[in-house]
Amino acid sequence: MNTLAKRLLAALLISLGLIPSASARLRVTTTTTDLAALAETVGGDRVDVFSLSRPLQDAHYLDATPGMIVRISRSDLFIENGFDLEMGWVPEVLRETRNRNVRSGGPGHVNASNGIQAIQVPERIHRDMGDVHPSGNPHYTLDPIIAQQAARNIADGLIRVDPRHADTYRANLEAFIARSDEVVNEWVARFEPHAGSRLIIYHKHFDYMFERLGLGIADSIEPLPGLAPSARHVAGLIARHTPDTVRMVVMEPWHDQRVGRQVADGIGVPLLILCPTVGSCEGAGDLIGLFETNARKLLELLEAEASE
Amino acid sequence: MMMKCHYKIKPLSLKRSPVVRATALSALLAAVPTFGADSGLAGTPLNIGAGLDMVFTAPLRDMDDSEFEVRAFELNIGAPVDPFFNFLATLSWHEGEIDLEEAWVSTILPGGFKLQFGREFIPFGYLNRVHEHDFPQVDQPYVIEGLTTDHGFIGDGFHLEYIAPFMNPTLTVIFGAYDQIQHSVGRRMDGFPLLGRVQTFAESANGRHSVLAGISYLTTAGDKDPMEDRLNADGQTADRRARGKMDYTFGLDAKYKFSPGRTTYQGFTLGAEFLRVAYDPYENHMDFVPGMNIGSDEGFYVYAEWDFDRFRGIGYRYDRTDVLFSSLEDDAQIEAHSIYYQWRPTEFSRLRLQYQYANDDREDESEHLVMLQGTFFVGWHPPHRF
Repeated sequence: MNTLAKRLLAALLISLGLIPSASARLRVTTTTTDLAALAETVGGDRVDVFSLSRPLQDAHYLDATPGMIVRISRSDLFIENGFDLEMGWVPEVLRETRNRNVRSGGPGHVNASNGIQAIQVPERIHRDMGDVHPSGNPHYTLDPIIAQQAARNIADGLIRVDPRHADTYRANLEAFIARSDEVVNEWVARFEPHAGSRLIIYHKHFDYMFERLGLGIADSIEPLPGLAPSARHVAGLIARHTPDTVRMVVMEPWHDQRVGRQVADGIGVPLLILCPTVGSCEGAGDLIGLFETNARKLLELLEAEASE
Repeated sequence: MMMKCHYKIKPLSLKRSPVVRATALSALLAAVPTFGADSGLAGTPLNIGAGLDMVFTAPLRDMDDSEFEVRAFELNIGAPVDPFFNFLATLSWHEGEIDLEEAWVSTILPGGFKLQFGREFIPFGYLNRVHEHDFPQVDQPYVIEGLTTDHGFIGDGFHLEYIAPFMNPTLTVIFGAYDQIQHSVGRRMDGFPLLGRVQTFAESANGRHSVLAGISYLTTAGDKDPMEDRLNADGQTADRRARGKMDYTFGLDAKYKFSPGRTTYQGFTLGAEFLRVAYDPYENHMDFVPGMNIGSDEGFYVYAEWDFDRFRGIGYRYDRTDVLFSSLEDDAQIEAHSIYYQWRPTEFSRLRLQYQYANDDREDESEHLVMLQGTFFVGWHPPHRF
């Protein structure tokens, strides 16, 4: 085979993904946009990152598609959130993937929750408690300080599959840790006057962030995790709470906002729609941006309430 | 009354596959003390779940013929065997009989291949790999139930699946070979049945539109549809289903989903499937005449569904299909319209109410049916595909 033919064959194989190119960036697939942003932060210009879920897609509920299987099969690194967030579809996709390296236990697999102490770990698991996660609340990426551990896990994964650029990944990790410490501490200080303020939530999505900012949760619109609120439950919320006991109602944009509005209006407090994931609203381009965007919205409303 | 005809199929019993029986039973017995999701078995995660499917059917013309049935009880067991093999088994109690519906092991091979072997819902069409309780409507589409089985095509053998390294659209090529496949025509297809399928999946750049489409072909290379256990002393049978033996089955299927975007639980689904089954006459049937031609049957269904949110959805299905051996039944057809509403309180329970108008050319009157279905799951359930 002459040189030209060899080059053409190599180009074809590279384009089909059958062999990697020497200078190729790592292909990283994540289950959520939050993890995609974190992988981009740690991987820098060494990675091409793709999220299997869209910003306004609830990662609890996705169908396993053939496209996901091919995507993961061609990845160098696969990152999942863990704490059973994706238990309805990731096991199927990993079982079907043609790439053993990215399966659980493989060098190209990262469970970003490793080493994180989850909140709300149930003492017992029973379906009559609703759709609870046995490992605890999985939405830890809403708090950049807790997400630092996820970033460490991602850096470890990148180093496993690409040890030549370990220094780059470690440097990016350290930069993220320093920046997130700085930003979060600043916001925690700004929330101090409002510490202990209580909110009504729809789903336990923002709890890590509320805990970091010193906010309390008075009640939830979901009677149990994953269950639709009944008219009786909504009426009970309105009867139980007043503007003296809760400051606002907060919710994710993918739930029925009419219910949130009904509860907020019934109690006489504002309704606030927060950004649940990276990319779901302006300013939430990465994890720190997501935290700042949500913190800013909360603080503006709390300060406006306080000044009335 | 024209209640839907359920072709009784002798289940492929555990006795037929001693290796599978031993594996499934030992897994079952070992699992009993720790029944539940992600149970521990000697430190190895073992997923176990059970499901119950109940249906109340009321023909509006004659309410006295209403019936309530526990349609199926299903036990699923699945787990990785080791880094190289995955295991899944489904035991089902269905119309008073226990079937081993699935018991297979899969493994990944180099070059984008996957091998799955054992007993499986063969990868023919779309609905054939979907368990009955997970069908989009209460009942099976008439073309599926009438021209395949009320269980679907279940085969003992293997299939090899290749996924080309294209991202969007994807291309999957499947080849299967089986010792036997059960189906409506003559109870089962022997003689080394062969299966071929090509499917593709594509989604729009924003992920709001996605479509899966496939083409399937099933035939047999050797003896077809033996009815030995139904032959009389003269070596003949009068069984209606034995008038023909399957030559081939051809299928087209497509499923489209649209997600509006902001409220991601909302969505529109459009699904359709076309089947054509060609036959040869069965020489041992009492009605057999040399040179007779019994041709082929074909039909399709199409449905549309709108999910308001994670809990509620409505849909409509249209059925049109030949009856089995339609050429011997004055080209009779069945046409049906169904509308349904479903409520899913959680991921693990679903209630569905369905009204159906059906017209069978062989019947004097059209049928109006109301069906109410309850589906309930405990423990683990295999993840749903697109």
